[in-house]
Order: sequence, then C-alpha cells, then structure tokens
Amino acid sequence: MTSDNPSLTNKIYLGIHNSVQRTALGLAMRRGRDARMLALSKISDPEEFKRKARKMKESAINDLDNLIQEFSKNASNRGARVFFAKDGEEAIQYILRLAERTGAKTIIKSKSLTSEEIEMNKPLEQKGYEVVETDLGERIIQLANEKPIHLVFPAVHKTVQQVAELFTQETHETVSPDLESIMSIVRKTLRQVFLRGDIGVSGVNVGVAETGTIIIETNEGNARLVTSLPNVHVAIMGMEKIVPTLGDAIQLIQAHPMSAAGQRLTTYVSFVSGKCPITADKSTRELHIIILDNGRSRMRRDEFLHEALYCIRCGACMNICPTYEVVGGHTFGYIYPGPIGIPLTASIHGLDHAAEFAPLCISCGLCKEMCPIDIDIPLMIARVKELESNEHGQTFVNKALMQFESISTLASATAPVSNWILERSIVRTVMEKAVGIERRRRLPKFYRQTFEKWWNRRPHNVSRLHHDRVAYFVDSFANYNDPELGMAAVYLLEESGVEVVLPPQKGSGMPYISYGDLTKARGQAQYNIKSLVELVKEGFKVVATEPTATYCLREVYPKLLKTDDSRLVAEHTTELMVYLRGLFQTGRLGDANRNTLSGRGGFHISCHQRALSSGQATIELLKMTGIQVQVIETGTCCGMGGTFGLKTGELGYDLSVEVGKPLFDLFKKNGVDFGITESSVCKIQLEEGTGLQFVHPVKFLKAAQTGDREFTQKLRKL
Amino acid sequence: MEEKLSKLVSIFKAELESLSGHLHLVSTNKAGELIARIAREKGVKLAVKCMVPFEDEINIAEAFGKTGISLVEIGTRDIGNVKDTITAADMGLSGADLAIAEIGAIAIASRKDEDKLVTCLPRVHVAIIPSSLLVHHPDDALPFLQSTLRDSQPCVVSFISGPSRTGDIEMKLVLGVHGPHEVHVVMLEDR
Repeated sequence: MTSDNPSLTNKIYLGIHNSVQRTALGLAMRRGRDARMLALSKISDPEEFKRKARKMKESAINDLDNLIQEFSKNASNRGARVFFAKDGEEAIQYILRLAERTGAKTIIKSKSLTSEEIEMNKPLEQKGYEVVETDLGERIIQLANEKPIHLVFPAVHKTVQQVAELFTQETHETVSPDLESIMSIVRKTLRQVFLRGDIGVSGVNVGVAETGTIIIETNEGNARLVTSLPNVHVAIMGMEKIVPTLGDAIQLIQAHPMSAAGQRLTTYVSFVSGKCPITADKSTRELHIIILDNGRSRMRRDEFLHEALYCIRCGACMNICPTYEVVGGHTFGYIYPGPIGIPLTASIHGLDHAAEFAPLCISCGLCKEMCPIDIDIPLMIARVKELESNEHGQTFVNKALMQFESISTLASATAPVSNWILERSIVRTVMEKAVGIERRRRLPKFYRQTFEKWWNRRPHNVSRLHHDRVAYFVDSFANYNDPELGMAAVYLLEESGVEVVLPPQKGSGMPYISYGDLTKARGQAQYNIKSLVELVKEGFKVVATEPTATYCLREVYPKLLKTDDSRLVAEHTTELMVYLRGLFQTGRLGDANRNTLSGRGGFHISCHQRALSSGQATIELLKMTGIQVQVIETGTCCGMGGTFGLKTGELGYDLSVEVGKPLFDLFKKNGVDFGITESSVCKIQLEEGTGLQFVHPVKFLKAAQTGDREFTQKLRKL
Repeated sequence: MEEKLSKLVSIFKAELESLSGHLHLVSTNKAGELIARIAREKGVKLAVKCMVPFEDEINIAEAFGKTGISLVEIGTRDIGNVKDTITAADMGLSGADLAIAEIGAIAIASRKDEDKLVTCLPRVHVAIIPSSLLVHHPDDALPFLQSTLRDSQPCVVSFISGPSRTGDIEMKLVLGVHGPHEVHVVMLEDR
C-alpha cells in the first residue's frame, strides 16, 4: 500500500532519473527566479505593485459580465467580430467554419495557451489544414509532438542536438547541432510559412473593455506577423483576460514579463484595436475574437477556485515549485503545467486530469509567494484535493497522517514504550507496508511529560508587569516531541516580564489542508480561533514557535473561516522570534545573553516562514548571542513538505529526498557546526540529509540567557 | 528643463542598449545623412519607408539618393504587392509616437497594417522620433494610449523594446528571430 496512483509514481521515478531534463529545467527555473528578483529590485514598491494588480483583477472578475459586454461592443465598433464560445468544441467549430468559408489552406499560430487548452491543432489537421506554430519553442514542441514542459519555456528540456534533429527531419536539410544553423533554417522556413498563411491565430494577454483592444505580447515578434500578414486574424481569449481600462492593462503588461523572465516589458507588445486595412483595402480583412468560457464560469462560482481567474500565465509559480523541478511539466501538469495547472486543469479539463498530478503538491506555499497577483495557489490545490477525495476517497496513508495528532497523544501517553516500539525495525517495516510510512525516516521521539502536562503542573507565574501578555500557540511538535522547546519559549517570555497563558488549542490543521480535508481543517481553525479571540480582545498577542502554525493563524484561517474573529486573531499573531526581537529592541530581553555562545550555524528558513518574517528577526537575535549565522538556501524548499516526506515511495520519501539533495550538499559544503531551523519537519529532513543537528533558535537564546556556554559545543554531528 | 531631458535621454539610452537596441541622438538636419550611413554600413540594398515626422526637413530621399540605395515609400503610390516589397527590403524606416525611458521602449501607432509590417519584416528597423516625445515611466504612456485607442478608428499600437529575441533553445539568447535583428532609434534632439 505505497500509493494509489501507479502511473504517477512511475512517472516520478522516470523524472528523478532523467538528469538531462532536470539540469535544463533547473537552470531555466533558477534563471527565471534570479531575473525576476533583479527586475523587482528596480521598481519602487514591489509589494504595492502586487496589491494594486490583485485588487484590479479581483474587481475585474467580480464585474466580468459587464466587462465582456463592454469589450464586445467596443471591439465590434472597430470592425471585429466577437464570438462567445462556451467550450473548446464551439471555438474549434467556429474556426473550422471560418477556414472553410475563406478557402484557407494554411493556419499560422503565435503562442496561445488558450488554443492549447482546447487542443485545436489536431481537429484542424484532421480536416486537411496545415497548422504551423511560429513561436520557436512551440514549433519545437509541435515537431516533437509533445506538450509544453513549462508555460514560458515550452521546450527548455530539449537539447540543441535534439532540436537540430527535429528540424532536419522536418526540412530534409541537414541542420548542424548549433544555434546559428538552427536559427538560419528556422528563419528561412518560417518566413515562407508566414507569407503563405491564410489565417493567423493568436492568443490574447489582456483584453481592454473601454476600447475593445486585445493586447498580445511576444519576444520573437511572431505575433505581429501572425496578426497582420494573413487576411484573417483569429484571437482566442479566455474570458478572464478582460480588464476595464488601458491603465489597468499597463499594469498587467509590466507584471507579466517581470514575473515570467525578469523583463521590464516583453520585447513586442501589440495593442490591436479593431481591424486594420492593408493596402487601403479593408474589405478583404477579418478580425475574429473568440471569448472562451470552457469552465471559467464554473471556476468563478467556486469559493476558492475563482482565484485561478486572476492568473496572468507568467509561469513564476512553476519556477519555484520544488517537486515540479524534479519531475517537470509533463508529469506535473496535464496541459497547463505547474502549481497553477492544478486548479486550472480541475476546472477546465476535469477533476480526473487534475488528480493525476495534484498529489505532487507538497503544500510548501512558495508558489503563493512568487505570484505577482498573490493568488493563494496552495489553498486552491487543497480545494482540488478535497473535491477529488470527495469523489474517490482518501489514500490510507494520507488518512493516517491527518490523524497524526491523535496518534501523538497515544504515543506520548505510552512513552517511552512507544518510542521503543517505533525504533524496532520490524515495527517500521510493518508500518511501511501497512500504513505507508517510510521506514528509513527517523521519527521524532515522544515525551510522556508533554509540554501541556508540564505547564499544568507548574506553579503559575503571574507576572508583576501586565503590559505584555501573550497566548502561546504550541502546536503538536513542541507539545509531544520537544517540550523543552516550549519551555524555553516560556522562559524567555517570562524572564522579560511577559505574562504567558496557554489557551485550549488543537494542532494547526495543516495536514488536513495538505491532503485536502478542508472540513476538518475548518474544524481545527474554528476551535483555535474561538479559544484565541477572547484573549486577543483582552489585549493578548498570539505567538507560535512553529512557522507553519503562525502561517495558518495569519494566512489560512481568515480564508477558511472568513470571519471577523479569524481576521482579528490573524492581525494579532506573530512569530515568537519576531515578538522577542520587539522585546529586545525595547531593552526587555536581557542584554546578558550577548556573545555567550560560539560556533557556526547554518540557518534554514522554512517555506512558511518565508511568507512571514523571512527569518530576519531570528538572524538578528542569534547574531547577538555570538553565534555566526549563515543562511543556507537553494531558493526553494527542503523537500519535506510537512508530512509528505514521511510517506514511503516515489510520492513521498523518494521525491522528498531528491528535492532536498541540493540543499543537503550546500550544508555539507559550507562546513557549519550545527543547523538552525524553526520548522519541526524541516528539522527531520535536514538532520537526515546533512548529518547535522538542527535546533530551534529559542533554545540558543535560552542557553545564552542562562549562560550555558557549552550548549553549542554539545551539538554533536549525528 | 534641458538638464531633465538629457537625464531622461541617458536613462533611455542605457535601457535600450541593455536590450541590444541603438540610440542615435542627432539634429534634424543631420538625420537623413545618419540614416543613409546606417543603411550603407549594414549593406542595405532596399529600404522601405512609411510616414516619418519632419520628413521635409530630414530629407531622407536626398540622402539615400547619394548612396544609390533604393528607397521605396509604402502606401503613397502603387508599388505592386506591398507584402512582397516589404519582405524583400533589408531596412524599414518608420516614425515613432512615444519613447519610454525607463524601459527602453518606443511606441508606434499604425492605422494600416503595411505601416506595421515596415517595422516587422526587414532585418534593420530605424525609427525616427522627436526628443519631445520621450517620457519617463511606462505609466506615462497612458495619455498617449488613451488618445490613440479611444478613437473608434481601428489602430494598432506597438511597443518595441529592442530587436526580436528568443531564448527557447537551451535558454541561450538569440537576437533577430522573425523580426528585425537590429533596432536603431534616431532621436531628433532639436525637436
């Protein structure tokens, strides 16, 4: 019982071992990320830019019915014919009728993801039309008879040798495997194709309601030829592309290339407003705009999935997705690849197709961080997983992992016997076979004396100062597996004169979100919010030591519950380290801990922490203790993905370790003495991968405060 | 005022050059010669041209006359198949309606598609623009877009930032795919 998805596990296996593809894709992704960062650094306020873009898309999708009408009216006034297609079939039939009426033979295309979405090439070819993609990457994919591996770099997995072979086969001329020879044959053959094209088909990046304008972006300039050399131009536009004004459009044509490839603007941006004449003869020209629904109206009505309609197809989300990097878009995708491909596929091509790759999402949340419109892709993926498990049920191992908290209660209650049992290899073999938990994973130990028990037994320390009061959200790990972590947190707070309370609480519920049980996740959220909101109203702040818990409280609960209470709690929740920095800055966190410790620590910032403070407070506080802190990261996830890496097989441990390897290597290369991380699950992955011990920063702070100079020296290599 | 303009020009130049485009800052009465010289240096045999600003003062025809390079005016008289003529040309000469310093882009409004093709097909594209049409930020292009596109006449506005490019094979940059391999912006410093 390792997985219920044999074809996916097989594809993961092949992906892991396809080193050519992995190298090429990894390079493209890294370049995409770096170039984006550089471009963002050149604009004055990237966060404000993002907020504005999001607000604009939100209101445009809200008002979509009116915008479609206004767009259609204005485009028609300028000589375009506008057709609303409810699905791909209607769009294809429209083009077939058009081709027949105009006596077309050759149909030339510029890059259009929407035309790929409806798979229009095949039916046209079956009717005998010559269909030619003119974007170089798309042309390569067309000749190879494949689907794009990446939204922006469709053929990035093909080597120059493979491309040369494809063009040799196509043209029957010998093309040498170098860029110059390939480009010269491409220019020569495609120029002829452009000139004989009868119909040009393009996509649309943005539609502008106030003028009926369609905006098309290309770097190669092929769309400019596709839209003006043939007498007939057909533009296929997903209905979500329409925005109200030209001002809105200016914002999007900047957001798109910046996120896609770090360009300030795509080389060519064409604002096509109506049908333009050529040689003074307007009558022979035709401009058709097909507005496509194809599942989008359904998407619009879904509580979570409607956010996919804000997507501007920049591909940034796939440039950071850790499992996509290993397996590529042919596995991590149906037609739309990558993280955003999951909600898009579910709504457009059906849940079954989305379910083929949705389990590859390990809920790291980095795609949300990268998205120029701040789309909550992880939550949409959780929704897709929920819809899928409503239909086909949940795998056994996922069910088990979602129950981890109740298992933890039992394991703690029976510790140390449970630890002894869990260390038996025979038990682990049985667990792997029966439940699907990887036997090689070192599971954290359970403590009989949980943090909660310790707390309940200790004399309650009512502070003399009541200015600062916090409610501590412990989460499962610090409670069952590392009570000392919780105690250190309480120690530091109380020593600084802060009153700490431990409100009734359940785990953050992240495993439910990861595996798509949003009902249960909501249940946990409701329980926690109900307990916390009263304290917040009394003036308490909420602090957590687990980044994922802070992330849930701040980012996820308000979206799951949509209540004022959840928003109020979110506003008053902070990472413990950020809270402690505040105390330090006001001179409350003792100065005694300066330079008490020594050693070099490699800091791993967990994905959920990146979405919060990015670890800045931690770095500042740790440096003060005398530790040399070095942030070590590959730019993406460590691969653990919460409990994902606990699962056995390709769709779990194997993939998780493949994602982690480059990071493990970096840690080893940097030769640090110990590791630092706030995430309890990253800790498991990194300790196994690097052989270093990983410790939560509050433990260093406590050691420094108590003058425990030997603390760092005791951190032995595992 | 002048200082502000020269600062904008240097931003525009740096951005355009980073995108492999070229900026030539020249006075109107020297522009014709300059363009003819570019044509000669690039081995141009046939150049096509649509309407350009300050045409009479620039006097391109005269400058080209001295070089012996053919210059065909698009759209004013019958030139046979316009697509074939533009395809055969090595150089396309056009005006531009706006330049955006911060992103190294020019914007061109075309009401007829043959004017657009002049900037698409030949391997060298030369665009002439008065320096008064240089703005700073992409958002500053909005008034131009509004006044051009809110008009109910069909129109295409093209933003062009440097030559045609692709990185589709092994992420290696290649300039000049389907469109121009070279873009020269000739900016009239006295206009």
